[in-house]
Amino acid sequence: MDGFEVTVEVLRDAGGVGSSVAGEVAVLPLAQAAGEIVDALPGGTATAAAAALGAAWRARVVATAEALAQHAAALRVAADAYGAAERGAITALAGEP
Amino acid sequence: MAAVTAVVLTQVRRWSAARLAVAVVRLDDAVRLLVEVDGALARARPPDSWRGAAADAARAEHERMARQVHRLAAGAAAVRSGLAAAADAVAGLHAGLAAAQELADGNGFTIAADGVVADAVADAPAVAVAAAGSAAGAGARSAVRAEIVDRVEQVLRAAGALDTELAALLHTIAADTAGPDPSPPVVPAAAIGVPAPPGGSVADSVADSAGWWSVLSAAARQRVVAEHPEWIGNRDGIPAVARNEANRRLLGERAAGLDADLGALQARYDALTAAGPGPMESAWLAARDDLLARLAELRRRQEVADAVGAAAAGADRRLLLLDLDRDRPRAAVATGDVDTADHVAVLTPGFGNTVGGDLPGVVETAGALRDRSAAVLDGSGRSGESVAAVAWLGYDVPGGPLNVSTADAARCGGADLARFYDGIDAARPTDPHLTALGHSYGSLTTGYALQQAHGVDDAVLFGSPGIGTDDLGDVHVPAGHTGVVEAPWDPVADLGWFGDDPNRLDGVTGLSARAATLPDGAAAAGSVLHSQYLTPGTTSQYNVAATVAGLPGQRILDPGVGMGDVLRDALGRRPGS
Repeated sequence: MDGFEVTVEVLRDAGGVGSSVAGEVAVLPLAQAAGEIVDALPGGTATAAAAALGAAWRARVVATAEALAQHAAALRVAADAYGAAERGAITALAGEP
Repeated sequence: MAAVTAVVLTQVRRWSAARLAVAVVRLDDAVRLLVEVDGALARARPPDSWRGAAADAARAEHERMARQVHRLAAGAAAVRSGLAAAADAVAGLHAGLAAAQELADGNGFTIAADGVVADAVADAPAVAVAAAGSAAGAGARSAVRAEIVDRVEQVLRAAGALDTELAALLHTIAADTAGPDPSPPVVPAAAIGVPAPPGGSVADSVADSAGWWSVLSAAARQRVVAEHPEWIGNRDGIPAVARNEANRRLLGERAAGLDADLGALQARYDALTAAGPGPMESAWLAARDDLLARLAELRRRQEVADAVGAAAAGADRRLLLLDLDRDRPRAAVATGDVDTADHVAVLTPGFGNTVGGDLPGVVETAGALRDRSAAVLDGSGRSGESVAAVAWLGYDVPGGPLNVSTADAARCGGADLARFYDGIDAARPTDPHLTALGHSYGSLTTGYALQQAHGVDDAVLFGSPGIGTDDLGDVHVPAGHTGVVEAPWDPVADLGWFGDDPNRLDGVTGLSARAATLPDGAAAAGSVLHSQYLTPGTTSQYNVAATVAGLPGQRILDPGVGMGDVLRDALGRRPGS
């Protein structure tokens, strides 16, 4: 594609939402639920499986929250860049004779 | 499915349904949050108006984020569903364990931490002799111990299955969560907490079946009835209410299947006859005769199913046995609530009775006997006690003189009938006053059953050609609680074909079949020949009803020795096979 179109405020809002949901995902009580399973069924093979699930959930929650936060930050950076470019263009065009 | 893991009793005792319920609540919260996150992400999707390479990259990353959220939500929901079932299952395990413990406590047994069942009475030599009392008493204790052992085994078996199934689910979701390219969960959480019955066969121990049922949660039981009615319809040790529901479902399915098969076959027959024989007349005739024979067989099966439906019709009827695929179909129908009644009678009819032809009549006879027993209780100021009566056609009732002359059918049927008796006790928290009733060849089947079962409190044998033993000590009924009725001019009752004439056995109580004035002053008619023992208004029916009601002191006694006995003594007994 040769060019682009963008609504800068929409991108900035999307970035804001991304930051917000990243915070919500980070506190999901999934690993705690797995911990309850470990405590509820002591001695069984399900206990080891629950511990493994807890670890997998914990890692996935952290990774997803970080990815959401990074994506949100990238959207904000893009919005800023588009805005700066727009402002630069306006300034440049305003200076023409 | 992976092999079921071994679980020990100390583990099961420490398992906590409440903590699993807490995990369910946490996962509910997690799923709710993830749904909110998913909605927010959808609203924040990079707009389509944003075009260009950066826009494409942003949308791809956004969709990857959304997929991750979906995967977390799906995994949490699957585990949540499995844990909810597991919480129910753990509650069921504890209920089953409590039932086994109550049985042990009430009978002087202990269940050790490792699950070993010990006889506290036998381990105390000073009181062992007094407690055991007799060989019969020792046998009964052994049976109780076996039941406790079976129940503990079923708890451990179900616990192992639960542990295995839940571990499989958790491992699957863990792998799905950690994997680079998540795939849908492969273990349905719905399978958790519904272990298959022991052995998969109705021939298993009654206590095993009762123990298995005792560890299922209410939700799991409903699923078994709805999804696997064939597991429990004929399984002794399962409560009558569940067997009835399962068998009615199976009977409905059978009736619908027969209707469909008949319709399809009739259409083929109509098409064949409409087309006419054509040039290949012999082939046409063969095809027509084949269709006619198959139609006749289907109609016969439909008549049998209809007879069972008619016999089981009514709110107070319970369909406790349904096995219609045999050459000689089997069924049992109760009138009254077998699970709660104070007094339960099981009537086993004899020679010539079939499910298709006679079940409704036998059920009516048992129902009338139940009413008579209730009336006797009423007249004795015990109207608060309830009665249930079962018509049991659960064996290959001989249909011809060749079959009826051998004890084979009675021996095989006796084993099944013994399990049925024991199952009534095992399915209830408290045993009823249980009476075994056998007529004609059915009394021989009853006799064999009573040599194996341990929970029968009273027995009445009428029109009996023998009970398979000459020694009443072989019969597991308390001394003084085996009654015999022999009507005048009943030739079968004097045959003594399968053991001594029952009314001559030491220890039996002869009950009258003659016209008599009953304790309440009413007149009762005599019964004669072979088929009037349970006719309403007769002394014999009253005597059987009073026995069923647990009122032996109100019976009219009579040894029933008549001309047939005199002739038999003169001619000598013919040995049965």
